[in-house]
Amino acid sequence: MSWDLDVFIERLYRKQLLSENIVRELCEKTKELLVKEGNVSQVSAPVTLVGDVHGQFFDVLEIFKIGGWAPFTNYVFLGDYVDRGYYSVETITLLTCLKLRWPDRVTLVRGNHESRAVTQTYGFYTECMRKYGNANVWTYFTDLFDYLVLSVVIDDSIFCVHGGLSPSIHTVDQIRVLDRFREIPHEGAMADLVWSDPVSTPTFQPGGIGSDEKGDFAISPRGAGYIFGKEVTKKFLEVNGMGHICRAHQLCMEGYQILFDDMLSTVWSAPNYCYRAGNMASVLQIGPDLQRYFNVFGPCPDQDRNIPGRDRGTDGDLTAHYPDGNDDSSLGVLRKKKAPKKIVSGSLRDPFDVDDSQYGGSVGGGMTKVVAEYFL
Amino acid sequence: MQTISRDYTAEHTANSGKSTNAVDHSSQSEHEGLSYHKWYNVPCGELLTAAHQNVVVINGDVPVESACETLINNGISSAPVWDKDRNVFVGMFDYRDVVTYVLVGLSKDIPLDESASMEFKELVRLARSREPVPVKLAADISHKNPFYSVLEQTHLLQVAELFSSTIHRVAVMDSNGLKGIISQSTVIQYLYKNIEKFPDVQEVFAKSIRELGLGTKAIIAVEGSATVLDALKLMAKHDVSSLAVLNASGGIVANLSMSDIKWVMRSFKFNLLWQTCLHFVGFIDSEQGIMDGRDKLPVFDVLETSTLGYAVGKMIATKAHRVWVVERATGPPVSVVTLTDVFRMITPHLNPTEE
Repeated sequence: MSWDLDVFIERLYRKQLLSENIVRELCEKTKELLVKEGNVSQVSAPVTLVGDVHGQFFDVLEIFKIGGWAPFTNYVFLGDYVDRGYYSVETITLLTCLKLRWPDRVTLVRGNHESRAVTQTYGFYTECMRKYGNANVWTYFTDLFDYLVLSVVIDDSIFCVHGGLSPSIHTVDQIRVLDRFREIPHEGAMADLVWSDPVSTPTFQPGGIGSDEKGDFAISPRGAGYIFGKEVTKKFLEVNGMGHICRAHQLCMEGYQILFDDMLSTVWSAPNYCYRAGNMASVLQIGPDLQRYFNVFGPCPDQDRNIPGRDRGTDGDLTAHYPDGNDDSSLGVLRKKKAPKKIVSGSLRDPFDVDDSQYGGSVGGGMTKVVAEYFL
Repeated sequence: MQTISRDYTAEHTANSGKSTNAVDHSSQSEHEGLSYHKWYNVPCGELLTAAHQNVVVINGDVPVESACETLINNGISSAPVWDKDRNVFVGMFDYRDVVTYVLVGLSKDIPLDESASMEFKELVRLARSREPVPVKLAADISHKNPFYSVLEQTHLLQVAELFSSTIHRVAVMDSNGLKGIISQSTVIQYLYKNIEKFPDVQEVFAKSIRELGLGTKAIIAVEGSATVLDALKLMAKHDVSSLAVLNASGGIVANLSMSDIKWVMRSFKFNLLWQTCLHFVGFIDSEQGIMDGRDKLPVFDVLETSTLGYAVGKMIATKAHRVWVVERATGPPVSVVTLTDVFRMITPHLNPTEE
């Protein structure tokens, strides 16, 4: 197949996987692009910020239907493209193509799930093994993740990052000098930026060892990063002359959350998370004068979604999920802004039902074989 | 007994900057001749007040599965079991006992030597015939968690010596009976929150793990492809409550604990026992992540060069009872620091022993 990004994007919109060789080439070319980008991308409004999507491919299409298709809308994705959802591979492949095709219109920030350690336990690795029969695609993407930028600044005014702040980072310039081209460590500034959370009332009293250096920071229950409060946020904004921090990383039932007198907000873009949490999602639309609007939406209607087990192709058939008539009709149509609607939760099977043959066969047998193959 | 109230913050805030004490100073007391500011002189009763506990007692006649549910629903890892026929606490029931029960139930032939207790033989008989097993037979069949009681006035020193060995929790009794449970976690959290009051502990916490000789230990580990059942058997055999899950290059990818059995028991997902460890930890992390609304790191680790205080802070924040120690970020585990280790380091007159 000849190299044509537009053809690849068109196939990906129809949820068709690209071959292993194309994925490798894609990742190589995108790395070449990203290596020239600094750790902090400068972006101009208008732009739409997208939070965690976690492999929920059909809901990513919803985002484009609501917010506008690339490149007609500028997008900043705040990380966590993979794990948990059924279509991490399709999602990350599509976003990578969009970045390569329109590098000035699409920005991809690294999330805590863009890591080898996390993707081995939260689903992306398993999905790559299942869809490609080996771990190469997982390797290509996790190598690519090492190149994703760490943060974005919109018109010198809005600071965007996946997780949150770090006790080691007081100025944006300090982020610029980090070496980001590696696996996310478990501690340090890079870990903090992708793992930290704001808390409005710290449940753990900051104190004890080193409390005066850290000030308002406390060790996070996630095992990496910190939890931080209003004072730290205010200081960061003042020191850096900015007005707002936007981040993702935490599930919000209403799709978004605004904290600390509007100094910080969380945007969450995976509706009905894991197909059962029953939450709404949103994207943050930033207008030309930096007006902020949270566009809230629910999961895509069931008839537009391929449900595993209902539309299964043969094993090893990489183009198993051909779009049906419904899919074709919904593509290319810009939907109106959605009013919140009733979530139909529990309509999809529990993804961790161990009888689910998506794990490649009988209970215990298929999974063990697959993992053992990789470990040879 | 004379009690004199004394404000300790003035002495210690010089070193620690912002003071964030959670303890009510008016309840502090000083014995003549003994300085209160040694942490192990704090009476046990003081910790219960700070901890705001809701005491859970399990009726000895309920089946093991139901007792397990009580642990899960209350978010605790252990509870005392009351035998109302004998009118006495017969032991502490915890997840290690659940694992022992499950392993017994699943094994076709267990060599039952004559020294096995009546309770254990009865348990095996019932389990084999698939009859419900009352939890009083299972309370402490792992022999790791006996019912040990202290009084409110008992100083922590006594408890600390226990906590430096195999006992991980004690019951605090008063004239009315059971007042509360003090575990290793209860004490460590109390110390961490009030660290400015205990400069000797601060000093130990400021040292690195390597410096304290905690940087090398024999690690019990499994490959990610081993089954959960094999992992549980390995833990039981080696007498540890958790082990490291490794990938092909020997790097640590996850941690499996005996208390993870609760995920099997919660919805009777027994088929999980035959899944690989990697699949199981993925399942647990995913479920926990949805419940919390935020995902965690698959494994909690610290560097050899990290301070003990940092390791303790991580254990408290993540509610884990251990952290793995690695030489470098994605490297193999070289050691593990447990709450028991912490007690060994801070309790006086104890020589840390190599294991």
